Amino acid sequence: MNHSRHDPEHDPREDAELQALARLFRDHSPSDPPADAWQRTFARIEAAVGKGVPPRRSWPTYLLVGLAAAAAALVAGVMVAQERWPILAGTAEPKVVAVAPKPKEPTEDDEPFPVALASEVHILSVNPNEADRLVMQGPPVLGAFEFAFAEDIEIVGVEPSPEQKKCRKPIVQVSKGAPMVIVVPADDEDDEQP
Amino acid sequence: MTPAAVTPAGHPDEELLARYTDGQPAALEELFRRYRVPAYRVAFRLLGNEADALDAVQDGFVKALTHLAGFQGRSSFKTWLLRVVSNAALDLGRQRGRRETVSLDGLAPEAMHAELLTGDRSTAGLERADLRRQLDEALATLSDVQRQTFVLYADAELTYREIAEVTSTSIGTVMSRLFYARQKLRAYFSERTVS
Repeated sequence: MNHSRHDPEHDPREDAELQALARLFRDHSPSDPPADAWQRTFARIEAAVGKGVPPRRSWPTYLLVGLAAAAAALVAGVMVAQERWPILAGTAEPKVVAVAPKPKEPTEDDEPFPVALASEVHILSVNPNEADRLVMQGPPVLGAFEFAFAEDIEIVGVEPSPEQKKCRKPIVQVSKGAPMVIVVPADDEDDEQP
Repeated sequence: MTPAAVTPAGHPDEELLARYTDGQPAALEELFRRYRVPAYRVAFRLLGNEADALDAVQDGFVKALTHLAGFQGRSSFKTWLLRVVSNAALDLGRQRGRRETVSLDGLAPEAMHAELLTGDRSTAGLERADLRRQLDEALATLSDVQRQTFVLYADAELTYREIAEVTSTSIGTVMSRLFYARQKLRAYFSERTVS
């Protein structure tokens, strides 16, 4: 028995034990059923699937004549029945049957899924681990990025933010090798609360 | 037109299947004769008794032959059939419960462990039926998928790739299941020896 080996660390002793186990089970396989049990099983399979797709046959003449006679007898029987029972001919008055009530049109109260508008949603925070990107007033930054530690940054001054008049922007000095620094405008206490 | 008198023995599976769909009953008989034993042994290992195993073989053959469109020749007919039979056996086992026919008396575990490790066949005097029951009991300690994987490896003698096709998993998963099956079987035999 040839098995492909994909693990370079594969222990051949484990393989030997597995093969010994397999050999043990194979050497003590369950006894085969008796011949009549096989025959019964095969007979049931044959009955379930048939003996295969039956080959095409031509229709013999006597079969065609018999089918024609049966069709004629059927038509005659229907005609006689319509004479005796007019309802079969459609001339009797139909009975009144109950009609299912028409379903009412859905109203505003039936709407199952009200949807919020974009203006009604305020994003309070974003977990960086759960976001592919964070958009920060500019092109999105894709992929994972590192935040700098406090010890990587030295704030040497502050200056007004050119983007937001009421904000100030720190002047920072970043140590060599530190990751990209994300500058976030401070909360403005003068903003009106929604 | 294919002559109906030609014996199907020795013909490849693809040809037998073509003859079967062409309406030749001898092809079905040959397919059954060719694969009934491996199918039965796999089913028996999964179910533990002859009656249920034959039912699973019957269900497996019927499903395999009535769903030949699903076969499409992407694997061998043997692996296709064993896939259907083993799944039929597992389904039957869930419906009926795996009926154990194991006797706790009989074979000395030390002798079986010795035979396992050393290949010593001096245990020939022991009742083979008792040994088979002990092996069935060992298999019962495995999960369904571990048992199915091990039986396909040991009794059906399929390769890792063929087992992966039968079980619709990867070769890595097959190796992992065999690893845990081996561990559990070794633990079973070791416990029996100690006790």
